[in-house]
Amino acid sequence: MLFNSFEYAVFLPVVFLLYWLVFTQLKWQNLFLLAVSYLFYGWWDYRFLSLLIFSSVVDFLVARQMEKTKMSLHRKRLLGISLFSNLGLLAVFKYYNFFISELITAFSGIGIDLDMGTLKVILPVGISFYTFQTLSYTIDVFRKKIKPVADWVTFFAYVSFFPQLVAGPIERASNLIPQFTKSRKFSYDQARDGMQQILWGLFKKVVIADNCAVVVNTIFANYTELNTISLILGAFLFSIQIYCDFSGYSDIAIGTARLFGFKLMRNFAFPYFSRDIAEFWRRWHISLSTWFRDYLYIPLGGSRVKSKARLVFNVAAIFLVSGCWHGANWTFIVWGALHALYFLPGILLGKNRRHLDVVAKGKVFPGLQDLINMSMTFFLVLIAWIFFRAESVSQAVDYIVRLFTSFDFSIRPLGKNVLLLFGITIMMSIEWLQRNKEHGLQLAVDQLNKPSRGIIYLTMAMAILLLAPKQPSVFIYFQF
Amino acid sequence: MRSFIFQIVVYSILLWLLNWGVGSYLRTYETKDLMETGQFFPALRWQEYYEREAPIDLLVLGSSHAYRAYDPKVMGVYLDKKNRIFNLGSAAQSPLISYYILKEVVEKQRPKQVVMDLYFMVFTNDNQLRNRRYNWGYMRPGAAKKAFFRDGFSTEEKVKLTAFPSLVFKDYLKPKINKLLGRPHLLKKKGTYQGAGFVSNSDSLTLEKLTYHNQFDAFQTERTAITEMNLKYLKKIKDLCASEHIPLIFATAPMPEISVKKIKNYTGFYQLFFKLAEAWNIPYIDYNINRIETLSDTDHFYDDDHLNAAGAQVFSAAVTKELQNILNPKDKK
Repeated sequence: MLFNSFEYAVFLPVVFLLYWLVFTQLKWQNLFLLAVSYLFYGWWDYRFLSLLIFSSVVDFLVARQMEKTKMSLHRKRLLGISLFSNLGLLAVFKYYNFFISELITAFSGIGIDLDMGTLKVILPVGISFYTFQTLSYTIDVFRKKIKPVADWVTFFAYVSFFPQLVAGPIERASNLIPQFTKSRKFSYDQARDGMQQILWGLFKKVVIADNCAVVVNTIFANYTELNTISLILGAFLFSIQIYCDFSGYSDIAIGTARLFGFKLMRNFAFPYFSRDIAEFWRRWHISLSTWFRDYLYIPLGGSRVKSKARLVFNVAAIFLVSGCWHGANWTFIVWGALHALYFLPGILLGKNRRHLDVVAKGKVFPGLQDLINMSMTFFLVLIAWIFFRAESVSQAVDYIVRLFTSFDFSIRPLGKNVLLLFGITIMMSIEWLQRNKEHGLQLAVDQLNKPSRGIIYLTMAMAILLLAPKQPSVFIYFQF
Repeated sequence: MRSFIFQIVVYSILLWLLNWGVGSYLRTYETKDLMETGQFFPALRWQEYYEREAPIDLLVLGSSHAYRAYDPKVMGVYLDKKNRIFNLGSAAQSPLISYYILKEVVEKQRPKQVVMDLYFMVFTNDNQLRNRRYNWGYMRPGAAKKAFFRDGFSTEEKVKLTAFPSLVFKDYLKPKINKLLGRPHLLKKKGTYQGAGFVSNSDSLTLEKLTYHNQFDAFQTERTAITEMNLKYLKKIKDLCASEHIPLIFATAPMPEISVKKIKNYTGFYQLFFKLAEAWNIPYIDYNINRIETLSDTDHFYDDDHLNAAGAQVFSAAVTKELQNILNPKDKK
């Protein structure tokens, strides 16, 4: 079920009312959330519910067994079972075909024809998200950071919680499970904030991202025939598209969870206002980057290693794995490698934690230095996005070469998309003004009076109704 | 909780009213702006249909290929049935739409003959909301319209059509804003409504355009298939005509020869229609296979798909002769 679909517009209010008015006891609320989460996921393809249930069963049992034993070896074996099961699912559904085809290509290069078949499987939506979520649980239980959950309903509801099931935020058990075990009371302020965040997320997804997608798809499909300005436009609009698409999804997910009394972790913190790449990664897809930090980077030694070579290895590893996580394609791996290259100078020079605060705090406009830093960071990120969007590495390289070699600066393509660019300017301006808040539409009661807030809500809702492209598109991160 | 639900309800009502107001305003692009300039063919066609008094002897159904090819005036002359032929073809009219149009017609009268133009493209998808709405929206209330709404639209579309006009008419936002800003806002004219449902266009196209800028180069028609739903409704049309004792004829109006050659698997589509017609004992003439020799790609077509006014004249004369042969086999010489 898509957040921007008719089905979800019916599903959400019905579930909300039943949850608060009928299932008032915690036990029943959790069971109800589990049932509707399975309905939400099964709506897309009920057959893949079995994978979700399999992953939940394995990690529930593994964690329970871990608690019962104090033998280190036995605990390691149990962790191995969890890792093997979850990463095995990913390997089969996400990477198997990629590895096989790469293997066939590699061997054919030396004249050996391998007779290996690929699997005819489609990638189950959200598999990379919920497997990482359950993995974090078993790893934390293994590390004795958290106690295993005794109640299976709580654990299964944690794994399948519908707002964040298919595209995150990838929640930590330590944050979300306690919220399932504590009694939840309806809070007006929390629900209002949730609705504001849902509205902002929908606006970014439907009005900005989906309209960008129409232009981006055309430009990337015909880039060999287009001029420099069009190519710049294509890369710029994709940068905006992927941000609005994914952060829009996260906003809707977090806002929806708020309606049910949950507080999910923040996933985006206005990343395009970052002054360097390190800051960008503290603000972009926070739940994934902190996952890799906690479960990969730090176990590898993190930045507290003695040799520079080891530090370079650790940084490269985390970005390459992050690239692989996005998909079985060399484009994602190159995208990750590029970010590693961007990130390394800062960490090697010890300058990766220069910008921990909000840019231009307390000011309306940024200073010149901040503006230059933000522009440079955005430019680097934009170049990397070209690899992320392209069908192949060679297409991305060709796109970039043309970007810098075909000097045709006719601005006609900009004129055709002036309304879209205007919409992006408005959206980014609002986010700039709200950059010290949790999300773009977080309006405090004392910030604006009721009629003004009402006008803003209705204008945005009408914009969503009127400005959506004819064909709604799925969220980009569903494919991961 | 109560206060939150109350606020959500209030905002929902306000949003709904706003959507209704904006949607109704946008709808005037069809009902006023385009109608006044004679450019909104579906409404003009239905308006004329309901206003006419003479019964219909020959009814033409089908896509734009139908309403741009079968000229009732020309056909009337040959069949000696002046003002008794009507073309209710419409853009991308699928068999589902044709079926409910036919239901609407047979509710009031019984045509002596129905010609159903079969354009393969409209059989390959279950068509868009707009093309169904163009007809449903301008049909008068009655059993056919009710059944069309019940069976012809998904639940989501029904909600949109009944409660969210802003979603239904949002395509008109841009021209309406242009109109408010005093800019050109009308669509590029694609023909002139000539009455009795027929639309003519006097443009012609160059061989270069037809050869190198042909839409069929981009279509992967070899990978597309005719949908079950469209076949189901084609059968329903056949059954309805049979139950009303109305002779039904299948025909396919000609396209430029170059375009036909560019359509991958055209013969596959033709054979499928031919076999169906044969099984149902319905005469079928495909003018892309049985070409009219006098039709020229550069003189008789206004784009890579449709006949122009001159082409429609030639075709209407030819198809009428064929209809006469089918209807009165004794006269066949």
